[in-house]
Amino acid sequence: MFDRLYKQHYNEIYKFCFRLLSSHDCAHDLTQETYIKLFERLNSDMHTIGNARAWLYKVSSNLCLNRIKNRNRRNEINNNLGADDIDHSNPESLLIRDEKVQMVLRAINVLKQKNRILIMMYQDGLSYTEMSEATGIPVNSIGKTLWRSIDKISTILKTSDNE
Amino acid sequence: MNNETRFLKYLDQQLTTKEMRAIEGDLMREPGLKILFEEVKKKRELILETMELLNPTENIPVPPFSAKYPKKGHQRAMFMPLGIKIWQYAAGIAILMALALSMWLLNKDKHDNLTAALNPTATVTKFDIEELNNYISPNRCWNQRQLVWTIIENNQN
Repeated sequence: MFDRLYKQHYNEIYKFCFRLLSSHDCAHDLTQETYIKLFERLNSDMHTIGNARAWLYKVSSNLCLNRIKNRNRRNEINNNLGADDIDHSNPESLLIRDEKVQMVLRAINVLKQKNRILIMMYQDGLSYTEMSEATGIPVNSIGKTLWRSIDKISTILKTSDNE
Repeated sequence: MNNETRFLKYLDQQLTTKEMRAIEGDLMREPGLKILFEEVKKKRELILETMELLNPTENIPVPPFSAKYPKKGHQRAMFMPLGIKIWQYAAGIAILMALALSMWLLNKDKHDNLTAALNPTATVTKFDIEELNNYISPNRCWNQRQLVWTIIENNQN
């Protein structure tokens, strides 16, 4: 069962961590740590997990938030998102991509941390129930919270485009 | 539930069949709602598309898990039992040492005060033990009690 969950969700958990932390090393570490926790949980009290996908997202988002908190504490906020995954052979495309990424990041960073995580889970196609399980937001409020976040980001992006 | 949220749920297929039919009926009847629906759809697509930029561009290989687990677990068990970090240990030791020192100092003061209160002459007559010890015996194997008796005998003579 563990192997199946590992192969099935590794990539999306990795990408989720990467989007939150902007670093391949951190994403790799935290994805591994998430699965270590799953491994331990499966060996002890497996029945408390419920929906495995939601559980993985919940654990990884908590780990990412802790890492962000530690980073902020040490003033090591890394602003160069995606810097280590860009094609360095084409500097022009690199610049354009970086600009766009910074714009999206600015828009997303306006949101509250919980909403930021929610919209990233939404991007990965989690169901409303799964998102509710992972974030602790009631299912009935997921739609409303999501719409507010989408609206906010789209307004910010429009303003940035006009500038 | 406002219309935007309803439409978003509709697009995400989070509604019951009955609710979905109701929305479809509303859209057929009211052209204003249809415009709003298109707007919601467009915004949703735009956000999902733009957020794709945050993903890493290359494929992520899935590393073997079993190779990593025992090493990490072993390290944890050796250096961080109960999840306590080294600086936390150091802080704990420093606090304990400070407590022990302050207790010792307090007790020492108390003991001195008590001795002074019980035996007022003790504070008046003070011998230089080293000097007396040299006077009595060069090998310095005397305890204080013997020393006192020797001084008394010496004085009597």
